[in-house]
Amino acid sequence: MMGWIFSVLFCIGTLYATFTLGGDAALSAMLLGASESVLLCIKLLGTYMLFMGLMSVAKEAGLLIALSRRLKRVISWLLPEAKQATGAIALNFAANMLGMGNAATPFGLEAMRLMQLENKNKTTATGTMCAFLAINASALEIIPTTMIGLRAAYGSASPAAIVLPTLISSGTATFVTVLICRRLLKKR
Amino acid sequence: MPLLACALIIYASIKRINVYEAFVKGALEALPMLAKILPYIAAMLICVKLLVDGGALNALIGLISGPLKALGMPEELLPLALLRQFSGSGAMAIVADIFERYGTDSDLGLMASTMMGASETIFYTLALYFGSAGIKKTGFTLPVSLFAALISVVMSVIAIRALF
Repeated sequence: MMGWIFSVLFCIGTLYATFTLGGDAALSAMLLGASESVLLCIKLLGTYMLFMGLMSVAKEAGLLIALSRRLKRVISWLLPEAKQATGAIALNFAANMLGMGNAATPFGLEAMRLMQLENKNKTTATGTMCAFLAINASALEIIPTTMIGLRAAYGSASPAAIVLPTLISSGTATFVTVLICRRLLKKR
Repeated sequence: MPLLACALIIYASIKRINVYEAFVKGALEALPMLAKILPYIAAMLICVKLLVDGGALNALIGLISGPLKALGMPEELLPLALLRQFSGSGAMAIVADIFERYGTDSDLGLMASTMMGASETIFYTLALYFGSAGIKKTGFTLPVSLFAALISVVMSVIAIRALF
């Protein structure tokens, strides 16, 4: 699926840019995108080191397992076969709901790694992985930290006015996603 | 958050964990993890730059803005709704532009804020998570996620119209 998307996006982008702006513009856009990814990774490295370091401390202190046990009911209602990834999934959801997307990623990747350990067919996503990512991408947001910050920076009179509408919008999307995923998981 | 981290460190110290060693061990894993996901990020960002700088995205917006406008979707928000699925920083730039042009507390400003806060960079997230695990067949994730994104966009417009 991703390969197919990449090919389509790449070809449409290149052909359009080449015929409207010329080949040079297309090439420089490609190079710009590639170097931007390096800059982004360097920026992310600090964040990841901080949160993966803290996660490792929590793991050694037995907190990830304790968290998994506590949230087993909730997570297993959403994702019946999360098993040992439950703790990491819970942390990922929690960080996402508080609007800390970059902090959520290391937890999410750890959850994927743990789920992949139990996956029999390594190149095909399990139903649990699909549902986990779909729920993650539906972006339930309780406090949109980043947006409130940006609004304040642009001189908004009430930066936090978007909390309720954001909750309504993302809540509806997540609710529908959970319903669809439960249907699809049961079918398997 | 910082207090939570501090509480974690105190708790781990009481449990006689070598906190420093544990932290360093975890932080060490960040570099290989990023090295693993860098090519996926690169592939996605190359496509994004091609589509945005090359003008294909704008052409697409021109094509579908007519019908969407008829349905009550403000056309100023269309670039945001589309780009949001591919690029977080690109979408953020559009939001900042809307803030400067219409103001943060205008209907458009509020809708843009909500749309941005209530959504995730779907293609980027999927590429990253599935890529890091080595998954090629991604099952039902993409169609379900795109449907959820559509709901989120529509609900952002409706919620602001209803509340303000």
